[in-house]
Amino acid sequence: MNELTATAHHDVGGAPGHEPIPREQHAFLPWELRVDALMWILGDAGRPGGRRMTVDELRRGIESLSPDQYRSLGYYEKWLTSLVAIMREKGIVSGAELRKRLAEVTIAHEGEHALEHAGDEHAQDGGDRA
Amino acid sequence: MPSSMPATSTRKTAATVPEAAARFSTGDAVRVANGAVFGHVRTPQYVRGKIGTVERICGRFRAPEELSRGKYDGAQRALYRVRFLQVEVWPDYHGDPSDTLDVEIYEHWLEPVRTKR
Repeated sequence: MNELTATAHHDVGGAPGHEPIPREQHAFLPWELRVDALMWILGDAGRPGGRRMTVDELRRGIESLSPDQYRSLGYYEKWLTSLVAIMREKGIVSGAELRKRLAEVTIAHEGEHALEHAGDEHAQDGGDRA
Repeated sequence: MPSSMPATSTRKTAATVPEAAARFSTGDAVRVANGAVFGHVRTPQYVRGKIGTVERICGRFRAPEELSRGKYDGAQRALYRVRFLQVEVWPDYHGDPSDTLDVEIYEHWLEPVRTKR
């Protein structure tokens, strides 16, 4: 391995494996499908405003994760982390906007959760939110 | 079910490359550039500095290095499928010495090899 290129921690082809790769496919969660859809929308040159990012930018963001993040985040968690970073880098969304929107959906989600469990005397905070 | 990765639209629209537009031809020996790399590239480290043979010309596409930096209108580069002997890529390869490995590599990563070996 070339010493100068060996620092790219994502470029692991040929490196000794640490643990077996689980090969069975899992069902996609709704948020994972949304992240996938969002990437397609942002990459679509035919939409108003034009293409906002490319898969190459997505990959740059993923490859810029720290080694710890790169190992610990799931597939679409890496996509989402990169996608948000690229949107912030381009000034398309700001950190303040993201925090505001996150607070809104968190409140909305908690409201839904409360409604679902209204009358459920055994409802406990931190219960099943799947 | 989502696909693994969205393709860039440059990929969808790229036409078949006329041979004249490509620096290398099928059968040419090429060496993959080596050295320090900054930012996003699509050339895996394990083939850098290795010698292979052009198996086919895949088309012309914009460079991942530029696309990854937000430059969407860069020049299109020829992309080659380069065939390596596994024993060339992996010094400790124990399989059949005629086993090969194909990697798609952009023209700007390839240098001509004058003396075939």
